Amino acid sequence: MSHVDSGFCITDIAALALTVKDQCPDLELVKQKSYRTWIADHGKLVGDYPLPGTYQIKMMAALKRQDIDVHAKAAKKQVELPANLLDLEKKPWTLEEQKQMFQDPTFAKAYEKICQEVVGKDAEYVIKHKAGKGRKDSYEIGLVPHPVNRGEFVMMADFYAQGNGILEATGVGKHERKGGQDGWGAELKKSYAVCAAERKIKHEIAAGNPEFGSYQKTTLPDGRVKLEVSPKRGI
Amino acid sequence: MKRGISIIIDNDGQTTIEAKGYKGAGCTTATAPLSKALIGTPTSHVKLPAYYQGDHAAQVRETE
Repeated sequence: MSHVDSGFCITDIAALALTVKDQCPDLELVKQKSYRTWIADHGKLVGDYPLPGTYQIKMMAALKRQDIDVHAKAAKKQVELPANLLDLEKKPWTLEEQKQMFQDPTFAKAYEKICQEVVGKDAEYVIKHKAGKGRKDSYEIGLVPHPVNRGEFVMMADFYAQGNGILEATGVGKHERKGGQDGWGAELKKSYAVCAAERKIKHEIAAGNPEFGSYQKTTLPDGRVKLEVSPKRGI
Repeated sequence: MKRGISIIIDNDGQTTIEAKGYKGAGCTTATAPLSKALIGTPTSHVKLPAYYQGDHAAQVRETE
């Protein structure tokens, strides 16, 4: 099994580091290129999930660099790729489309290559168990630089068997399938978003942005967090 | 309407930003620092009808 999910974009790595430090006692965020997934142990993805959108973009970019008309090739297999291939990030091809496309050996080889050479080896930061914590075969959460947007990182993890335990670590949030969608890391993502928002608001207040005078933080009855920003007085 | 920016963070980290009481494009200017910091590249950027009513209250919602 292999489910390397592309979940969430991180724009403030310092906020993520603070969040991990504050609420994940068994984990640490480190600078590291590789992040462990099923591929690290078995050499390839099983292929029961489509390639994550970020890697679909990377795969198509590699083919385009070889002057391969990926749209025409996909169309021959009855798959319509978006005119702007960056749209694969938010609307990746499905597993069925992947199976159809990969009947073309050009796509099949490119897939093998990206799985062998890129997936799990392209992170800049990694969230992992601290030494002596977690299972020895625990997977890791990779922060992979966004293929286009500088300074942004896509959060990746193989959620098979709860990432061999890492998604069950305190403060992360287990993998769940709801309404046909896979999700994981809800606690970590929520706390990161709150931390990043507060850091940005405080930054704007300190910088003298007139729209950012003060703010209030409230936890709503359903657990959501509300931040209300008021402009400076007299504006 | 009193001006202000409201940010709601869902339990799975999805963020909604709403600006109230701004005129026209003033709301997008006001929320720009937050939307970039929180969402990165917004997947949807929905301007509510008030946005187009220059002198009236304007709202903008951005959701991941």
